[in-house]
Amino acid sequence: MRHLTIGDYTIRITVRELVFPLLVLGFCAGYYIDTRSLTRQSMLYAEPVLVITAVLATAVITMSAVRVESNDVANNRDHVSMVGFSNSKDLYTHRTIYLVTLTAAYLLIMRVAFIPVTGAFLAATLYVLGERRLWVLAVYATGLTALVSGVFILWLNVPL
Amino acid sequence: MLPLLASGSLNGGLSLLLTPPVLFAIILGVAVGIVFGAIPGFSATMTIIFLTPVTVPFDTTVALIFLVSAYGGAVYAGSIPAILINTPGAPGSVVTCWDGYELTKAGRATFALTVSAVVSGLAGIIAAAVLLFVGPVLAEFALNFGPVELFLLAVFALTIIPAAKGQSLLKGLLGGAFGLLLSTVGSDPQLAQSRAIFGQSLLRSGVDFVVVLIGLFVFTEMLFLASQESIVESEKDVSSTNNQIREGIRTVFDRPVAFLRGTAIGTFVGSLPGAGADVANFVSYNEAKRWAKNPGDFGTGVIEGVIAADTSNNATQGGALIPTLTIGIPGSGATAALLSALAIHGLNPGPGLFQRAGPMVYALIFSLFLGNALILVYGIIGARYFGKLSRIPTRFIVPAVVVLAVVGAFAVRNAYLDVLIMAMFGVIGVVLVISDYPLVSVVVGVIVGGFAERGFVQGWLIHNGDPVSFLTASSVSVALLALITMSLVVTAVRD
Repeated sequence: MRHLTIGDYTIRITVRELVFPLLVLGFCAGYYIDTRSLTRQSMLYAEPVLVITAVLATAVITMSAVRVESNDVANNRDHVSMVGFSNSKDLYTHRTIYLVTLTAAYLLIMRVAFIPVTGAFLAATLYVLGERRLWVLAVYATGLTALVSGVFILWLNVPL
Repeated sequence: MLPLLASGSLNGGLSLLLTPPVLFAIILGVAVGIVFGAIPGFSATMTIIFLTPVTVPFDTTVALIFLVSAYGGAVYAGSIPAILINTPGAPGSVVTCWDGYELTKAGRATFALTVSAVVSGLAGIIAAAVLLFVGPVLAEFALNFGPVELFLLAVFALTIIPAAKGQSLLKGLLGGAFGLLLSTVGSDPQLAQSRAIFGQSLLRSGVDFVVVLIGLFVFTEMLFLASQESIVESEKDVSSTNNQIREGIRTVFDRPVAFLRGTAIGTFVGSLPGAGADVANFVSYNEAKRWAKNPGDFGTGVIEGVIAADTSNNATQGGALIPTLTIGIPGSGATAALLSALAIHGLNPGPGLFQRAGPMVYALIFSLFLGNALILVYGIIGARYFGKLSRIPTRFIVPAVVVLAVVGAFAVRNAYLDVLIMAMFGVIGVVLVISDYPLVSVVVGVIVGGFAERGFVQGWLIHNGDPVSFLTASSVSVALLALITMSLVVTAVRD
């Protein structure tokens, strides 16, 4: 949370509440720019949805993310509440960071050679999540890669 | 009277059903459907799409009964990962997560899975009976849902999510509106002009809801799950597995009203063109919560939540086949895929289907009884073992599910862009969870967006752009409008 004091008032901004509505507003802006030259017929339904979405995002920002209070109220609130990620699950661990990093790398290079890259991803991810037995790593990676390849590539003809 | 019961082909249907290849197709179809449906993000629609090419060499009756059996198995099995790892296997199982996963965390996964299997199988059998006996009447009522009513039904589905989830109305509506806006990406239905495709030709056919679903539910959940060693938070499993199975079966029969209400809602919503299990389970859950003595307990692991979700989603199978078989309009995404399978096998869906292929259609309807009975058997036997899956350390689940999510997203349209979109929605899902938004609002917005737009545009043109005439097009639309208003007011007052 960020505080900004102006005279007798404090503006409190809850950053985590800002992220999604700002993302939505950014998407709305991009959507508008991309579609502004289209005819009314093409936007008959999309335009009201675009406007309503932008209005709702603005409303969430003004009602949930930004709060203007007198300094007295703001000071009292600081004493009675600690605002944080109390409602969220525990996301910030080494295991999660490793998973994100490995997944990003996997997505980037999976098109090079799907089968060996998938095997390597499975083994590496299992390792960073705590498995240390070599035979388990080998059987897990090989078995799952074979299963995925067999079902999706050979049987269902997915061009991976 | 539509021709469902006018045909004299009942005996022919029964004879076809009792041939060894058809019986084998049912046994195998349900099993394959359960395996596919239990893969997180792998919906019943995707299951049918993937299996249809495999059935091309089969006899038409065997092929279609195999696909319908796989459809039922996949709809049921979507609840297995929903209960075990808080990841719906299909859109129709989203609501199952809310109470099912809480029960798993409390060490009662086998109990929740048993209840899920029993209500899924029984609700499917009742819905099949409805299809057989009441189908024509329901199909005629479903015809009252014109474009305006379909649009309002989509809006109603979005407004009840924050009410059902007990989350902020404003945030729920923003998520839903964002989902609706995402569904408009691609070619517009009138002039086929590209909207917001940002130079990506693949997006002309839109953002696929399955990709969004996999990103928001599968990828996001794996990111959170990676931080835990095990899904079960504590060793609270005080009763043995057998006791949980017996308790699960008893629980269903102790709650006949909850079971019948969910079945009725699922059958009715399924019979509405375009609205399938994904809409039915929200409506059913909301109704169960509304009639409950302690509505505040929903979402904390009450079994009535699982009953409401799983009765309705499996009942939609029979319901969705009503308009599909009788009038040729798909009752859900999965039955739309079934329609294409019918066409591939040389059959034109609609009223004429019963004259042309009466015995085969009746065999297909009878197969639903057998298929759902098998779901019950497979489910109860499997609950003992599925439940143990929740004890597997997350390090074995996370990498496998991530790979299946990536492959599943790619397989939707064989496009790498879909994998990137899925990953992007995985990150957005994290933001949504941290900020306490209902994830499902976005997904439902994308799912209902297609028929919402078609309904709005057609209705608007029919009523010459007059909003009053548009909103009061029929008694059904007025009733839906009243339900939307009530849902908004009640949630706003609660907020």
